[in-house]
Amino acid sequence: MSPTQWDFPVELCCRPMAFVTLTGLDVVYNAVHRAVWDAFCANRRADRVPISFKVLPGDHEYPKCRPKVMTLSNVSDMVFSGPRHAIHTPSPRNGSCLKLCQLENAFYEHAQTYYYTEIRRVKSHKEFLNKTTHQLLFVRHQFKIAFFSELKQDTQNALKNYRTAYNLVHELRAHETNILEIKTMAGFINYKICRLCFQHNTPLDAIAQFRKHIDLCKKKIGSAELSFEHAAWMSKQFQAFGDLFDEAIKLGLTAIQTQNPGFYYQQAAYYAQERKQLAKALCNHEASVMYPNPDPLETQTGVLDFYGQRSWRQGILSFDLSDPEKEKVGILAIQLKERNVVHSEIIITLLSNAVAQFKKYKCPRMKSHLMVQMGEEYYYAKDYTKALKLLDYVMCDYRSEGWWTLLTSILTTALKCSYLMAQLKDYITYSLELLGRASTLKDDQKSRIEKNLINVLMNESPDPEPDCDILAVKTAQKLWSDRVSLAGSNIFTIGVQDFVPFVQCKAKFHAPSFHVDVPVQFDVYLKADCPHPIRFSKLCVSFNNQEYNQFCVIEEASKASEVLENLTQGKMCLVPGKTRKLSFKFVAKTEDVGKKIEITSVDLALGNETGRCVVLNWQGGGGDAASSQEALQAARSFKRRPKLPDSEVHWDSIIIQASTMIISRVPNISVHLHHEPPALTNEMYCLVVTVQSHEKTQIRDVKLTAGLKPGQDANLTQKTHVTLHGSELCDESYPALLTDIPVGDLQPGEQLEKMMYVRCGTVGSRMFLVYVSYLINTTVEEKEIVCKCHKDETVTIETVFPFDVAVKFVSTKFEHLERVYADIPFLLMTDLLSASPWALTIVSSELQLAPSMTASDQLESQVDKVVLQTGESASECFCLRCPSVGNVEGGVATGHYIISWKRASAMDDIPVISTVITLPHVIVENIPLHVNAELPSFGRVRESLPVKYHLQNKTHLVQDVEISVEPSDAFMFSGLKQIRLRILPGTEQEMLYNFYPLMAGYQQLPSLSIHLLRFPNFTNQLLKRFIPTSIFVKPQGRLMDDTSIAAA
Amino acid sequence: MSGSFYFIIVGHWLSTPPVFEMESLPAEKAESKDDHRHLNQFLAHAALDLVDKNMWLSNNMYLKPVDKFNVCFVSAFVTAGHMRFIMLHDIRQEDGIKNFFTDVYNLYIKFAMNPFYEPNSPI
Repeated sequence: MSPTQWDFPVELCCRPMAFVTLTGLDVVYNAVHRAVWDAFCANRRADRVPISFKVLPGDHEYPKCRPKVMTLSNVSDMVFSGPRHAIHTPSPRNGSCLKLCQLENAFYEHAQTYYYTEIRRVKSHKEFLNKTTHQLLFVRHQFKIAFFSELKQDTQNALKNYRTAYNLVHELRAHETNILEIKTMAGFINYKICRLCFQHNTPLDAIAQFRKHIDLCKKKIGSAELSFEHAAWMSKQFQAFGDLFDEAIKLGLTAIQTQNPGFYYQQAAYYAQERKQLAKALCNHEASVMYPNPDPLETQTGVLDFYGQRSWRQGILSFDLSDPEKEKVGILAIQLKERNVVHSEIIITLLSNAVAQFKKYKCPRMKSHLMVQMGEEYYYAKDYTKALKLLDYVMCDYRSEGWWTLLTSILTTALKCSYLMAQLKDYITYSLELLGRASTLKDDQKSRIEKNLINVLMNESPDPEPDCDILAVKTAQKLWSDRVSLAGSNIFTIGVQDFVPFVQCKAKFHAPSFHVDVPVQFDVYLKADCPHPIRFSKLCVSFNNQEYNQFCVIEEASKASEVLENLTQGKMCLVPGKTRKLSFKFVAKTEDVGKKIEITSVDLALGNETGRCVVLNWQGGGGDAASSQEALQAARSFKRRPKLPDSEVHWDSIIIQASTMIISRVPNISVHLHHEPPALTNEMYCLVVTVQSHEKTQIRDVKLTAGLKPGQDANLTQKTHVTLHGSELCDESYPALLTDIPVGDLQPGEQLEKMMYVRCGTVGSRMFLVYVSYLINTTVEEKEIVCKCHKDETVTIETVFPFDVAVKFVSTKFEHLERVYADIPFLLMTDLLSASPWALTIVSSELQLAPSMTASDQLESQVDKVVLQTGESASECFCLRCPSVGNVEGGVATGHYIISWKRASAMDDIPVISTVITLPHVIVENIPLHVNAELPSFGRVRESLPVKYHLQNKTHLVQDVEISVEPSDAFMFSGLKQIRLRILPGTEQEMLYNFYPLMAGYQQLPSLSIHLLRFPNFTNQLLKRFIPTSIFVKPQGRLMDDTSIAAA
Repeated sequence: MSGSFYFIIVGHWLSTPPVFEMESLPAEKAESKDDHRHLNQFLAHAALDLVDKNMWLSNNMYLKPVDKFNVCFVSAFVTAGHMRFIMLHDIRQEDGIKNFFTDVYNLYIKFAMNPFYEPNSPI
């Protein structure tokens, strides 16, 4: 855009810098001169002094100081006749950078001094002025001082002086003849003040100044005939401030949501719109009105002497209009010029600036509002494509927020745009929504739109939208008639998900799942919201499995002209407000058992191929941009709905159900499991499966899947094995689940039995699954299908230990042993306690000794063929000996105890289970001396009782042994009462005593006491473990014959 | 043109549908009703950005004029349940509007207590 009268002069908008001209440089042909010039001007860094350089030819004529005769208040010539200060420089041949900077600083200082003296000069001049006669000059001088200060880079003083100048401007008497000039000046000075405030990083001052400025000038409209000029000026003020604000932000100022340049651009746009309105009202001259000749806006120099003055009365200070005729012509010229201004362009630029700002500061609604305005402005500017693009963009925002009035307003504009461009698809889409329930249009408007829509479908042109530009309508009518004659591509598919069309659709399966042997049923509900009944031509439903699509089509042949006629008849004719139900039914494919059938889309066609056809496409089971919210609202509602006849339903009460599962036919067989829980660890647990058919016809291909139910603890899979053959023990190679075991066919009522065996290696509970599947032929809707049915049973089985085994070590005297002594026999006792609720047969038991153990006698089983009831126990006893070993940490391994068993009830072919028990380790200790006694099992009063003690030296040393025998009251005895002897290593010594019992009964023997000199720890206590301390003495018999003894 | 008021209640649930709308124009301007209603709604809707921003900055339910569009002031009142009352008015009259908001709030609460009223549905 070329600069208009309202734009600020560029000299005002840049940052003033000291001005230095270089002359005598030939920068075009002389390379050295060029280098000098570049050194001054190119890449000026921020730390260099602010100087603006200019090169002038050597013969340049410098302006003479103008004689100060003009007394006009106007100050703006300053920027043209500003301080020009030239210094002739001898062109340096090789100026180093340092030299250059020095030179530059010299220039700068020189300039500073110059500006200082200029300020002094103006100030001294000002002192001669007085307010009554020179009021106008005060502003001029103040402005000069401020501007020189700025050139001098003294911005604080500049600001101060500008402020004074600003106040002085408003002290001037405003009159119609000078109000434009005053406003122009006020605008310039205000701009300077705001600019400096931002530069000083005091944005609040800038905003305050600007507000004051606007408040002061808002009402100074001036001539009513040129009021658009005021609007233009206001717009410019806001725009300039917005620009300043934005520039400050780019330099690091932070703005906030509530205070950002967007608001100023928005206001600027508002005034630009006002300007347009005013211009439209004031400049509507007849075409015959000619532009005045000679042009009153033309001046001799081509430019105005002073900003803001009227060209036809420059330099006139009087408030009186000297020549009313001239005035009239001037105003006419301005009005005619204004008519040529492209207002929309200005408005749109400002709006888009504002939009950018609001987007940046996250004010989405503000942004949408401005975009709507932009769209409307494009519409006025007849750029319908851009208008539609913008309106389309914001439509969804208003739609999703549910502001229907606003949406309707936008749609109305959009419809006009699409009409004027003859955009068929858009036209139809907007019509659909404007007829819908979200539209707040009156019924007469809706009727009109519906009629137009029908016309379009019948391949005719619609009536023009109201309030459109007449010329544009003419063009549009041509376009429409061209469209009509074009053949082909007359089917429009419109996805309705994203807007609110005038037909609502909800599809609903009757059930969330259907068995494969019953037909799948669903309903499509339709409701029209348009004012008149409407007839559709076709409805098709699409599924994820497209094979079903063919079964779900309703088509009603009708002529295009009948769309609005014969309205009460036919399935596809929708009466506004009434819910229409269309039912569908089809047979699901057997392959789809276990799958979901989903409605992927519903297509409803309006019109037919001979005219134009619109296909409304609902994704899924219907619903549009507003329906989910309506559904939610309806769900929360407590409102009672009025009762309707049975055939009708409330629209709100219909809930979309767009998918259903196809599930297999209900089985008609029974599956029973027979077993005796709990299972015992490692046994072959028998599970009898009984399958009986209750079907009316033969069932085929019966298959059994049985075993551990998948999805349990992974460890269970390792420790559970299943087989159909009970005669062999399962091992690790057997699976946990047997799948698809064919068991043949079953006639109606027939029953089959299958035995399976489960071996559980660990205790705990397990879930077992028995799954029976079969095929059966059946008929649905006269269609024969093969159904696969299945039935499953699960059972939880607990596994327990069959028995507990306790093991203990005892001495040959059956005394409990904590440790055993090397080479000395001891007893191993096992105790097997049945924990099974079922009787167990112990087939056999076996003791497998570790190499470190030897048996003292034969190790044959003592519990063969024993049957144990619950809680009963079986014990065995083995006499063992452990040869001397070194000191072994943790004891010596004993070996394993193996029990072979089965259930007492188990059949013969069921294998025996061997349970291996690892026997505990035993601590073995060496003793220096072992004593064992050899004596009869009982004595008899007054009969000699010979006792022999064997003393074995278990060490590698010669042992000194002290032996003594304490007498007992019950015995007399003969033999060595006290003796000290030596026993060589590994040998044994026998001590023979002859005891003579005196009393009958259980009598204490005379106690043997041994004292080892080398092993003081060897006590009699220890000794008592090996030798008996008492003996049973029988009374003396009367007869001494053998028979009596045997009888006793 | 002074003495025009436009009052709207905006809900907050899922989206922001207008719940109640009322316009009061001076007697001599009564005829231009429908043409301008949507313009006022546009202003009220755009002002929601600033209302939403301001309501977190203040402890009061009554927010002073949050926005000013030419001659039009936008005052707002946010209830504890985040219903937003918005008033567009062309004369500065803070006390009057504050009292009006308080009265409307009382009425609204009574209304909302009605078990048959569904929150956010048009009044």
